Amino acid sequence: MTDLRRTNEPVEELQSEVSARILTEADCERILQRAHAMARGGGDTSVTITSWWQGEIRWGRNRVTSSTDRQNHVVMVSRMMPNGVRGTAQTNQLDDESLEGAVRAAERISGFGSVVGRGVGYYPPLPSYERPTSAIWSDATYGLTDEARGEVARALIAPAEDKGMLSAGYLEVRAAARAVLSTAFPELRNGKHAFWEQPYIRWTQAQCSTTVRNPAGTASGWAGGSSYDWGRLDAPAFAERALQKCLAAQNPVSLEPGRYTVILEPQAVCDLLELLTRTFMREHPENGNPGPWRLVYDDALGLWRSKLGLKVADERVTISHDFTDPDLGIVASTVEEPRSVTWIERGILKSLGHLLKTDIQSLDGWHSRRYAVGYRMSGGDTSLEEMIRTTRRGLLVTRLSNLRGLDVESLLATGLTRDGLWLIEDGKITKAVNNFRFTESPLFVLNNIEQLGEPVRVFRPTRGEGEQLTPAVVPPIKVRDFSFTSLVGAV
Amino acid sequence: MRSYLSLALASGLLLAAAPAVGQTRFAWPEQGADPSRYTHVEECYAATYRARELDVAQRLGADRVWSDTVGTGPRSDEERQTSVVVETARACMQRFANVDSVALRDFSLLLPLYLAAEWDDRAQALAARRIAAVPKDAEAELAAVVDTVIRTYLAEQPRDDFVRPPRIGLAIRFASEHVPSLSDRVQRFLNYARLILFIGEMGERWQDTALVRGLVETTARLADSLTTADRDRIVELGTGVFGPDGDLAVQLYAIYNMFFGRQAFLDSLRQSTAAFVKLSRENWARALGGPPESYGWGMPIGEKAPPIEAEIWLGHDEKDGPRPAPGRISLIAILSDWSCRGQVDDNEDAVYTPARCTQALIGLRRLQERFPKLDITVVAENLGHFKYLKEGVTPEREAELTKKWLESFGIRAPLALTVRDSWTLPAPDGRRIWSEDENMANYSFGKSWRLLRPIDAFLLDEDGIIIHAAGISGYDETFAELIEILLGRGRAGV
Repeated sequence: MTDLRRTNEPVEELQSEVSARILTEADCERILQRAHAMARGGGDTSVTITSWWQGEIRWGRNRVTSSTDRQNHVVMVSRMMPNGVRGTAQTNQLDDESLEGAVRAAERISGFGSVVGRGVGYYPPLPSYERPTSAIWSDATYGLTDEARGEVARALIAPAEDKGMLSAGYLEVRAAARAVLSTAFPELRNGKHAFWEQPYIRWTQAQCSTTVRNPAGTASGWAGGSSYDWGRLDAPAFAERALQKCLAAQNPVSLEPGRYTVILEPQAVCDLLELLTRTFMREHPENGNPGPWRLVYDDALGLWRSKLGLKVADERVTISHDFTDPDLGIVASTVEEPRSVTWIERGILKSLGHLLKTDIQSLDGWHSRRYAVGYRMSGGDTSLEEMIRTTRRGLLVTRLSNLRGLDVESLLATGLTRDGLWLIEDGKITKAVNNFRFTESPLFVLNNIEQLGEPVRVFRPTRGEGEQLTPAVVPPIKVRDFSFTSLVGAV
Repeated sequence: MRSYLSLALASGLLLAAAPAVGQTRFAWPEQGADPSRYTHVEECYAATYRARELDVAQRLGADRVWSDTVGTGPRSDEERQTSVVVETARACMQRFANVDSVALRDFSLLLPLYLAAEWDDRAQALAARRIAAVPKDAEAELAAVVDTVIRTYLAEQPRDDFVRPPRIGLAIRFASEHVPSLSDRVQRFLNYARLILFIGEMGERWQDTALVRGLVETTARLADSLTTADRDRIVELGTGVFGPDGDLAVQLYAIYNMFFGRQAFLDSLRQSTAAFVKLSRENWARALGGPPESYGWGMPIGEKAPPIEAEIWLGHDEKDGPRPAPGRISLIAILSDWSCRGQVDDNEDAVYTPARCTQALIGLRRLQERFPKLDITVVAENLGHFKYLKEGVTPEREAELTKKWLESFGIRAPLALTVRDSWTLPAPDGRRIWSEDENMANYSFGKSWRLLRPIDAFLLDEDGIIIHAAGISGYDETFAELIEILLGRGRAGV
């Protein structure tokens, strides 16, 4: 390979940065040092490094269609010249010429504006924060080679092919690392990192999903899962479940739209809760913005009140996150509250996430609190079979898709059912049903619960390059009066 | 600048990353833009604006030592534009140099560009041509053109800050000639007042000409005749200058002071506090156009300054007597804007004091250095934290940190920190609700005076009577002038 890089560093050292799938902590530190050594004109240098590797295999109609290994190291260089603004430039080439080009570009942008007085005056030493740790790295995920992925795909295709069905699917394993480092304010640091930096952290993610359809294209079954640990995913079970659903979904009939008792499988519950869990931040209602948690303006105190402390869901519902739960490992920010968080506890809105400045300026602490990046919803001990058996007439829903919000205050949304919808009559699944469009709100659903099952890990991967983990553990639920508003032709 | 490393696996071997064949590295585009080749006025405007911005950034960046000549004051405002900006404007505007043939639809861009190129004669000719093009009964258009020309001459139009220095002389001549032809007296007032207030900020040397004196008198007479409906219209039309933040009454007060004459005003203070207070209150009543109670916003000039109450004093022993100290010329500096020391960011901006706060602190320091005999007391209320630091920050610790912060700006005055009571909303809300600070309440004079600047300052004479109340800024000379008189009075035995 022609070495296009001009550098005084030994080639072997550079090789470690380029050929390794993700950058190491030492690599990231060295990039900051190199960038700062290249800087001209004084000021501070920072780097935001996202390094990721992804191995994936995709198949359709029982044949592998693509199999790739990808990696990228994205380095965003920031320069703050004296009295200048923050200038940033991004590169994914780590040789000297490219890095220096990014540094020069950032310096040029920094010189386009002025921020006078940065760092002027006395500032106390920066506080140090302890970041919580949780299980987010798996060697099993990192070590799943392309050959092994191929074998998995083969194993997932075979059952469907044997039954004359068509299998499609996607398997991805990913590893990523992130670091935000800078040279700013060394005299204020109490330890190696400033509280706004992200010390090096790495994580893995695995996801696997498969859809089985009949050759006529009239029946579909889906199953999938995601986790940081490939070892926790039972891929053959996904294949089996997707196949069984497809077989059971053949010859669907059309029903009248309307309100039905539904059994939402865990994946469908998670799909619906997406609309809810991302609203768990208190600045939104407390700044008077309309949303599900804004209550009323308090004239006497001159501030907006939220629904904190009010009952917003069934008393059997608790939505929380615990770092020590091996199913819920996430990448925490440095200033984040290092303990478990409960947003809804026994139906009551117990807390909302908040920014660091909210805690320092208005509350009693000095941390930020996360919203539901990852979460666990409480369940019960009613099995899916029991739910079906005790349903006089209802529908069993595999999953939901294409959700679109309609109203920010009630969280009313519309979307589609897909990949398996069945009619339940007198405690038995009797027919496959054509898909519906629904118009519902997760808040309404969580207030209309009849039964809950055991929470399980669901499919909730992040898809963007280098994005962080978002695990969810969710139960199946039986809900009354779920609103289906029209039939759709989707399968 | 990105090349996406995408490796297709045929054999399962991981290939080392390599740029794809045929890919070229990103290269900066050609830097030497030639404004003389631009064919549109908008391009000239953008090029001149860029030249100005780059010039400012480079001059600021070249000075690596923090300079406390922050902000722009009258002197720097009057400096000529740098050659880079002038040359850029001239190079581009060669194509549009013929005043008689340029398109009048580009008037609002051409006028500031002529001024940036220092083609003042062309600017005047263009303004005259534009006025002449206004149809006979198009009163609204005439008012708009007059307003635009005056604002442009004063460099008050948004983004016209490459017009330097402001062409005050041109504005005065233009206003004298054309404002009287506006039939709407509210529009006449707005244009005169804008110009007069601008001149008031620029210093005395502009105020003592016969032309300006005439304009001030005309403006004051117009102000006297304003009805309540007129005032409402002025607030609506003149937002920013006369609207809620640039309060109409305050601006009118400034106009009346100018009408009376700055020196005459200062002379009244040399004579006695009572004379000064009487004149100030008469002008204030005149500015309000009605009883002070009807307005809801009073003026503390002439009030006795309340004593400072605080739980924590640093740099002052309470046994040495109260503050403000009787018999001394005093300045009470209230840190009203909590965000100066309390704003928190979770990025590198956590280590940054907003420019408006820094300007005020430097202004205070300059007063301290210039007037060693001035008795300054800094007053603040506790916030429960200092910037990003909260853990272990007791009120005592907060006072120490605040004092250290003030001293880093050279301010050595005693600090009085009041420790407010607070309570929290019941869990799970938990927000902290602060009680009202006693000093803030007292110095609001029954909510008739708003404390909302980085430093709200009150200048007191030796009897503790408030002579002046305003925000401290980096370049406003009013406090210094008054302090000098008060101290001089003391020396003269007045």
